[in-house]
Amino acid sequence: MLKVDSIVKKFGSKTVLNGINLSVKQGEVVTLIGPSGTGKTTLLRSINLLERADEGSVSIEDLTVTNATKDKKKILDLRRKTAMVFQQYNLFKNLKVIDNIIQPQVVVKGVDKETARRRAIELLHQVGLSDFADYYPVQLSGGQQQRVSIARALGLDPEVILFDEPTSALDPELSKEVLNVIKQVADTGISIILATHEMQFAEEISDQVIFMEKGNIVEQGSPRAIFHNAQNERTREFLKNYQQYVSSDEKKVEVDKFEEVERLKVI
Amino acid sequence: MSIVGLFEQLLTGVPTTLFFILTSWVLGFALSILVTAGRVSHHKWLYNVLGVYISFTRSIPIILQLFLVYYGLPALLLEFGIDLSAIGKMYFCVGAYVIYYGAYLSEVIRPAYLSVNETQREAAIALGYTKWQMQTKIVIPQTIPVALPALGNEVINLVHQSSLLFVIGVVDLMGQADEYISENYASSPILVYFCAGLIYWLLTIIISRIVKLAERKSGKFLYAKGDSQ
Repeated sequence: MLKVDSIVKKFGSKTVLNGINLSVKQGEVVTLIGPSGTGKTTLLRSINLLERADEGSVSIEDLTVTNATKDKKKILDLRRKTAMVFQQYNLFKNLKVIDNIIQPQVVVKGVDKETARRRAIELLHQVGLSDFADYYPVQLSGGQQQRVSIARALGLDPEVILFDEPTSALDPELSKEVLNVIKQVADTGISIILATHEMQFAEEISDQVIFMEKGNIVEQGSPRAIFHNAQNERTREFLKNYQQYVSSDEKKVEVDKFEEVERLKVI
Repeated sequence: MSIVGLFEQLLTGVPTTLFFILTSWVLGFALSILVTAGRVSHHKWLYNVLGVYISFTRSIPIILQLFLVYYGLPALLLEFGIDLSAIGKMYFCVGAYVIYYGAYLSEVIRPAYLSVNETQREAAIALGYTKWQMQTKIVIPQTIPVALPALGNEVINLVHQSSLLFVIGVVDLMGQADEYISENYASSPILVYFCAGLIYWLLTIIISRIVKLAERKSGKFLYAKGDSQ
């Protein structure tokens, strides 16, 4: 249903994606794992066409956009078959929670406002935030904001939802809320591409796992094949170190935050 | 002299002052939006040309600009056979202030516009908004509350600067005060100016109330209570 064909993306002289091929079937959950700075986010952004690839093409069903496509309508049409969920949620600050879900339906899909509102109420219920309809995003916790942003994406009935490290900015408790919602979404049969560092979750939810490094796909396969029977040395190394890597990384984040607070106090 | 008579005469200047403030502000604001659009449009030459205009206009005292437009422009155009002598003083005044505020307000609006986080624009585009929809539904609504306090201050500034019009003979509130003094030369000029000052004060209070109201209304999302971040 979705097909990424030999995408190359360069930032200046640095090649971030080095000819990526990927195909996603209807209802399939594809997980991208790999070290930070490896091109997972850029790949998702290229599929959404937020970044235009230097070479290659993206197709969803019968619609194809290549690096040479100039037709704005075509680009918009393809983009509207996807919806993005960002690491930092990126809810519209000027809109209440409910309007964050209503407005995109009205603007992007041309749904009338009343229908959009009913749908938004349903979706808020689905992500467990019915009581927060009239709050502004800034009044919600990170996990709540991310759930709203998932509801916002669902309201658009996209063919595929692109999750860009949706839980990386959240503590484990809040992550769990969000992961539960993503799982629900996966169960509804919508296609998902998810970039994540949550290995256990990736194993549970995925139909296909892709290990990326330095802009290349190193290995791909079923969760079982990747997590328990990886063929590539690099994949094994990455996964073996993973537990350590996570815990020391998290400690580092904590330290950074502490330093940031101290620094702000000084200012 | 009667204080009631004094106020009656002063108040006849208020419509002129208000007309001037309203037209120059609305037109100046409209111009400043165009200037801002040009400045953020990524056209380098447009950015630079407008930059020169802004720098020049903001560096020169408004009274000098008023003189340039009122005395200089007709003289210049007469050289080309265009006669502006039939045009009322007020138009020159409004013209001069629109040029001034077009530059001035754009330097209030542009930073406010740029203060809207890039991720907000990106989210809109990623969800399939067109650029126009992104601007009108997301970016501009977030620009307004940031710009409003400074824009409000500029309106109040304009109220004060409108008093300069009397220098070229426009009979506004200040002009009425001046006329009253020359017509009743026995009376105390200080008292007359003081009373005119009271009216300016009242105007300023009313205007800042309106601005505050607009700030509250447009910036609800900024002042929402219970920020958990």
